[in-house]
Parts: sequence; C-alpha cells; structure tokens
Amino acid sequence: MTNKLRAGLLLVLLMIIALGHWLRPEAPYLRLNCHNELYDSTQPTAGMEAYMVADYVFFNDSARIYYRYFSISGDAIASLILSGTRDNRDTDRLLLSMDQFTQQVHITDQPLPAQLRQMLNTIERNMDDRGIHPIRMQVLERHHEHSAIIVQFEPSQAVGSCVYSD
Amino acid sequence: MVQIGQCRYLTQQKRLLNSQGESWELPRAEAQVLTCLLDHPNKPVDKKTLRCGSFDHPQFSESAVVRAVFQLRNFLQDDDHTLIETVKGVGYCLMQTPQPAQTAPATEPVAPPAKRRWPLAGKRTIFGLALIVTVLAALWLWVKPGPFEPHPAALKQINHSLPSGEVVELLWHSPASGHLRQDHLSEQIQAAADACSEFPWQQIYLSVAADQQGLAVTLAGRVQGQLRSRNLKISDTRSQADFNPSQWLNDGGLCDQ
Repeated sequence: MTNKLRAGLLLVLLMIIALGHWLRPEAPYLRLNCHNELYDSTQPTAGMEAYMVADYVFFNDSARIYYRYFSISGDAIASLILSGTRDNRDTDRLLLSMDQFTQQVHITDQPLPAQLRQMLNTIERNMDDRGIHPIRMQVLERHHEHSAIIVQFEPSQAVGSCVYSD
Repeated sequence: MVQIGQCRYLTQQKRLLNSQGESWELPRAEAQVLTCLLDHPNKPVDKKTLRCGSFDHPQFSESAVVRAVFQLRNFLQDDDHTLIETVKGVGYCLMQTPQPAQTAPATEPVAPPAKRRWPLAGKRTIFGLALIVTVLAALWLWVKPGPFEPHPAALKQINHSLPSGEVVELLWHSPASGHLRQDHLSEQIQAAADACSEFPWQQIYLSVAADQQGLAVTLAGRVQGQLRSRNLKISDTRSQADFNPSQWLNDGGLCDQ
C-alpha cells in the first residue's frame, strides 16, 4: 500500500468520523418542559393542591433536572435540582445518572404538597451506594408537529406529557 | 531490462518493477507509450507517435495516452515529472541517463506474483469510498428518526366508548400489581369521563407510582387541530387499598381542558 493510498484511506476515515459526528441524531442541546397539576386525594377538598414544573435540560453529556413547585396562587414553594450525566445518546430511552442534589424549600405556613414529600423521599431512597440517582426516561408517544412527547419516568413509573425544544 | 529512475522495465514481459519489489504488468496503452518513449530517450515524442506506436494508425485516443502517462508516472513515483517530462504542444519526453539497454531474458528476475500494483487504487478507492459514504449518509439521513421515537404499547389498553359515541383510550403503563386495583381505578375514570358533558381527551395515560402512593394521569387530545394535554399527579400517602380520587373525579376534574 502506497503512502498516497494510506493518506487517502485516512482522509476517508476522518470524513466518515466527521460525517458521523455531524449526522448524530441526538441534538447536543435538548430541553423538556413538563407541567404538572398536583392533587392529594387524602385531603377533604381534593382540589388542586399545587403545581409543579419540571425542566429536563441536556447539553452534550450533562443533564440537569429542575423541579419547581408553586402554590395555586403562584408562590414558590420549593425547588429541587438534580445534576449529573446523560449516559446514552438514545433520545428514545434516555438514561441519566444524577449525582448531585440540591433543594431549596421555602418556609410557608402551609404543609408541603404530598407529591413534593414523595419526591424527596424517592430521591433519597433511590440513591445507590455511590450516591447516584439513576433515572430512565422512555418515550411512549410523540407529536413532532407540536414538539410534544408522552414519556414515562423510571423508577417512579410516572407518566407525563412534556414539550421539548432542541 | 531497462532502468528507469528507481524502477526496472522488463521489456519482454512488459513489466515494471520498483525498488520495493512490486511489479506491474503494463496494459497495452502503457506498454506502447513506454516503448515509444524508450525508443526516443531524452527526445520529445509527439502524441500521435505515442498513439500509433509501431502501427500506421493510432491505436489509442489522446486521452488514453494522457492516462497512460499518468499511470506510468504514478508507478515510477515521478511526482515532479522529471522522468517523463511534458513538452507543451508536442508530447512527452523520457529523461534517461545514458545506459545501455540490456537484453537478458535469462537473467530477468521474475516478479513476485502475489504482489500486484493498482496504479489508480488511491484515487479510485477514495472516490469509491467517498461515494459509498455519501450514499449511505444520504440514506441514513432520509430514514433518520426524529428526536424522539415512540415506544411500546401500553401494558393494558381499554377502549371506552363515551355516551357521545367517541372512543377514549385508557393506556396503563404500570403493571397491575400492588395494592392499588387498576380495574377499579379504570372504572372510576370511565365513569367520570361519562359524566362530562363534553370530554375533550382521546387518550388517558395512567400509571401507578412504584411506591403505590400515587397515580399519574396524562390526558391528551386534540382540539381544533391543537394538541392539548394535562398531567395530573394524584397522591395518596396512606398506602391503603382504598386509594380513591373519586371526589376530584366527581367534581369534574377530567372534563376541563
């Protein structure tokens, strides 16, 4: 094999790598926004207790999840932030390893929403011995024309609709 | 045998050998061109002569001659065209240091048969591979999935007909295990949907939380072509079998868009 041929093959290899990188189906930036109404069936009024906005932000291999809780009147109740890494590039079934957790709970005279208490318990329980909170997001349905997906989260098993932007 | 640069030309076999031991059995055009050039060392040979060789009429086209010279230069590693010079408006000139041509068939080495030189392998291979890559990339781009592809069907699906005749899909995405009874919850939700004067949803995604302390409900539907959805997270931390969102359901919670 001549040097020219070797150089040519190397060039083709680089082109393939560059092309593969350029054509990667996964966007380096991805954001999911999910709006949730929270109810507590044990409360006698049984009306909406609070609402929670969940933002899932992915940039390359990093992942960050923001859970923000608001009262019916719009006052901030709490915010939880999970940071970590995105373990795969499959947007169909995202695997996340969240290893940092910060929470900010505002002091109010109202009890915390039941779902928030559950969330705090789940995050605490789900940490493995390395301090990693694994999360899997599996897409159930998509509506590209509306940039919306229905997704199921593991380990909570919760389903939810989210709007995405990339 | 004739020495041409770092190569040797076996005149009888019409085979070129380079210093690495690679050999190239010359095709007709290359052999004719090289023979003509060797017949007139250090003298320009016009293209017509190169085309005709020992014949009266041209045997090859001019482009075939150009291609043959290119091939020869490539094998001879004559990148700077010092061996085969281009004489503008005339043709080509083989620059040879005076050296008697040897006719020694008995001593001509036999080229190793296993090694074969592919003069155009570099460029053709690159072009071919680039073409294949481009076609594959185009194909892949064409069938490239969107950012999200839907996943599998629900673990349990119930198609419920509303009094209006429309059908609502109840899609369970959690296993029917634990103390919360999916059938009972399905019945409650269907009854609540029936009670709505107008039910704006076509799909109801349902999942009992892994800790059995909550029910996630996602309502999805289209209103005038626009996608509408609501995510409801209904908690019951008592962990008892009588999980019952009926109050909220009875209040018409499912009917709102």
